[in-house]
Amino acid sequence: MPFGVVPDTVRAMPEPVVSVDALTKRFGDLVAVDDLTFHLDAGTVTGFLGPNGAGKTTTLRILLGLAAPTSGTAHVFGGRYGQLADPMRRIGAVLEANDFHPGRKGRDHLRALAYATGIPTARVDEVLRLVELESAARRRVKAYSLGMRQRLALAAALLGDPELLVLDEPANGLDPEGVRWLRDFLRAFAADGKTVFVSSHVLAEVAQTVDRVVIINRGRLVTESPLEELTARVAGAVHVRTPQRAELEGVLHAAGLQTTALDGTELLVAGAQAATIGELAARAGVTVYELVQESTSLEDVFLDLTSETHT
Amino acid sequence: MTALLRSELLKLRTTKTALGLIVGMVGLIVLFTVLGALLPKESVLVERKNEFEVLANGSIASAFAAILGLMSMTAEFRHGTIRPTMLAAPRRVRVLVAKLVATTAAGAVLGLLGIALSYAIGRICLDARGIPSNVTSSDVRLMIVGSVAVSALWGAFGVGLGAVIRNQAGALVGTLMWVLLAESILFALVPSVGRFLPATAANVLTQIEVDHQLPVVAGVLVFCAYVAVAAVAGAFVTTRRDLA
Repeated sequence: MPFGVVPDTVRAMPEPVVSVDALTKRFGDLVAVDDLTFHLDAGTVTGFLGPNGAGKTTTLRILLGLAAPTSGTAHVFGGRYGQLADPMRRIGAVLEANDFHPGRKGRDHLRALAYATGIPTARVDEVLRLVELESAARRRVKAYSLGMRQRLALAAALLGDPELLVLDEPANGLDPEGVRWLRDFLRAFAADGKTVFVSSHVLAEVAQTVDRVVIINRGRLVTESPLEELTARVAGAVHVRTPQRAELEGVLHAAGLQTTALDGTELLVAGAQAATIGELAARAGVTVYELVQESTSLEDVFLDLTSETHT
Repeated sequence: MTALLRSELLKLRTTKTALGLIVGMVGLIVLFTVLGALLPKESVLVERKNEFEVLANGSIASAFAAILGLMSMTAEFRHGTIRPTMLAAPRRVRVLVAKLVATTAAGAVLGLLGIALSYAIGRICLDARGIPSNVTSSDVRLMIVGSVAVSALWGAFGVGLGAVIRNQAGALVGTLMWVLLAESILFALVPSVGRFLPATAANVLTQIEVDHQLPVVAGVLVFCAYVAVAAVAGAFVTTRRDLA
């Protein structure tokens, strides 16, 4: 094959929008990000999840060129953020809801950023309309509520009409109405085929928005998967109380079910329905005192994945 | 680069910091000049050095220029605006250069405003008292150029120091204590060394006939060297430190 000719198979592979490879960040003895690798494709809405202190913010700051990695790389559109010619037109980021001078008017904050990047002032008023902040645009930021500050930060991120939106805990401090507004906004943004990367320490906040998740804990990758894979793990467990535990265990195992003995008379059966167990017990003539269907939520799966035992 | 400069000039205009500093500066200059021209005896004010001092009161604009420079840089860290700023312009040195240019220009404006004010008020008060003038036209040139240049340079110096120190209160208190206390004491005790200190060196442009002072050109060069070192140090740490 002559030089310069790209085989079709390579050309067909779209370059990932975000590529984090073997990223490590140490602060003295603390390892904030530990050999983290994940990739985001264009047009996906990915939740970046993990408990507080998992290394999400550090990862995002390295990705956006605000902090330097100890080792490894974090690339956007194939290069470091600082190498992009006009980053605001490709990436919009909301890191903190409070990165404003309190004495500056919301509109002036946006104007300063628009000037710096050569974005016309008309776009400032456009994004103010988009985040529904026009009425407060000429007030100083110190008079803004947290929700208004979040929206001003989002307006700044949208100035360059970016293809990728990166948000760090955007729902923090928002009231339920604000959370719903944000969810609708992100959905509409993603519906245009754009990419969203949104971090949260609460899966429920983003579960209705994202289609993929990258879960980290203590700086390490726990899982990177479509949301459905996580949802599939949401299976019921049944709590059984029986005086004939050993007999019932035998019956259930024969039926292919997994059990966990809790104590003398109690048993937990994973991935089963109470009715199934009741029928199996009746057919085997085993006495059952109690059958309780325990439902696991998506949040339980998330907490389970990020609990200490999994690290 | 012009885009970043426009952005920095807009930032200076859109908080009350600059306005507050101008109001404070004008008040202080008017007060000092009026008192300086009206209180001393005529025999004191006919001396060229003392007349110069009254007319050149406006050069305290340089202190306000320094505060403006310090605040414009440290406010970015204090309020976290450094993050959106650097997201918009990830080449950090360019942002620093834009800030240096903007505050240098703002400092020059403060210096010009200050010296115009003190010269006009001082002249009016001295004339009203019928005190003959003994400053030469080259003295007047020196005080105007000096106030503008020193204020411009102090604005840049403030940005450089602010980039290194980052903490707003620490930078302001540290700089003012150094200039007002440490340097005056050092210059009084060991003038041979003290005259090479930044504020004392800069004073060759705003004071005349001060014992042990460096020659004008030497003083200007020494002060420029301090400003350059602060700017380079500011650029060095700004490119290397995390903005987390």
